This record gives sequence, C-alpha cells and structure tokens, in this order.
Amino acid sequence: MAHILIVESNTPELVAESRSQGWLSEADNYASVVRQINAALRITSVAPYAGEALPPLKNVSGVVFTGSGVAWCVDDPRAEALEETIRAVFAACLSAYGSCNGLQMVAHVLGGTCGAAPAGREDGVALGLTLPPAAEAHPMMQGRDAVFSAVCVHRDEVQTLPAGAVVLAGNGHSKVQAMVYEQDGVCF
Amino acid sequence: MRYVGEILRDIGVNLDLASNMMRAEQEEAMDLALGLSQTELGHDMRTLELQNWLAMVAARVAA
Repeated sequence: MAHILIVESNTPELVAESRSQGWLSEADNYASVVRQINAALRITSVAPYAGEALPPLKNVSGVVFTGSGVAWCVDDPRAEALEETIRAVFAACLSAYGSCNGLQMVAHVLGGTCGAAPAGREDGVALGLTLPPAAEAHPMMQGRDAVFSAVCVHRDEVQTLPAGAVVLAGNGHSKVQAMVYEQDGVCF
Repeated sequence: MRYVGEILRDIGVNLDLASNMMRAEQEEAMDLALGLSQTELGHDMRTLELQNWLAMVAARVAA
C-alpha cells in the first residue's frame, strides 16, 4: 500500500487560528482530498514548524507540501524548519508534490528565487492559465484543457526557475503557476 | 468529480472577468470561493494534478 506523508506548511498558531474558525488545517484538508481520491492510501502528516521530526522515510511513497499563510517569503530564516524537511525528502529521493507555498519552498530549495508578485495578490480565481508546449504531454497535466481557471490565493510567486525545472502552467499574473523538476534524483 | 469552472459558474462567478479585475471584484470572487465547502474547494483546487501525481506514485510503488 502506498504511504503518503503530508507536510503541514503552517505554523501551529496559524493551524490553531484556522481550526478556531471551523476550518481544517492545510494538512487535514489535503488528507481529506487524498482520501477521496484513493481511500486505500495510508496517510500520515508532520508539522515541522511545530517541532515535529520527520518519521522514518523508508516506507513513505510520496510527500505533499501544503500551502501556507505565513507572513514571510520562502527565503526567510524563519522558514528553516520547512526547508530542512524538504531537503531531507529530496535526499531520500521521494516523489513530492507541492501547492502554493509548497511550490515556492521547493523552487527556493532547488536554487530558484521567489518574491512578492509585482502584479499583487492573486485572490479568488487564477484566470487564463495556459499549458506551455512542454506541459501538454506531461503526465501531471493530463486532462487539463489548453486554457483553464483555478481557485487560487497567493502573494508570492516563483520568479526564477531552478535550473532544469519545467513550467507546466502560467498566466498573465504569474509565469510559474506549476512546475516540475525531474533530475538529480529529485522528482517534484 | 467537479471542476472549478463548473462550481464557480453554479454560484454565479463570471469566469470572463479579466485577470486585472478590480479589487472589489477579486474580493467578490474570493468570498464566493470561500463560501464553498472546504472539501469541495480543496478537492477541486488540487484534484486533477494531485490525482495524476498519486497515480504516478502508485505506479512507482507497484513497479
């Protein structure tokens, strides 16, 4: 049975705030979604900002990095706990998936740069997302139309791609809305 | 499984809004999006790419 580890990218304070409003934490929400897609998967989670140590990765099949509401950008020293977690996952050659802050953290760890989007926040719906030619045949984007919209909330964006990364989707607001990096033992 | 376009159309969001829509329109779209159940929203936001990735992981485990 495949085992999916979900990495909570929010601080304990943000998780508590979310729960106080009746919302799930990002990790719990992802777990719910993953369970709906495949109820047979084993799902566990870890919260680096809460000081939790990574479980043994030997039996983990894939890792999800969630989005986050932290006030800082991914290159801030306060992101160190999450950065170390990502480095450990990649050192173990595990397949990984990340959205929003998860994508930005991975881009940073792999040598890219991130920052506040010059166009400002993109709240609500990301419109006019397109697939570059290299993305059309990629397994990650199978089923997506050539142009699509998606619910989206972000302040920061990936501004410089890690060398060798491939953009899977972008729009007029942010050129990198999705990317893959598949080299050097990393599968993101 | 439903996709974001369907859900937002159902609740009245105009997907033809320009990406540089006014702040008030962004907030309106956000309020409408947040009015969805979190499961439905999360499911839709991530389902297709997440589903594809999970299939790739499962195939790797089975290989």
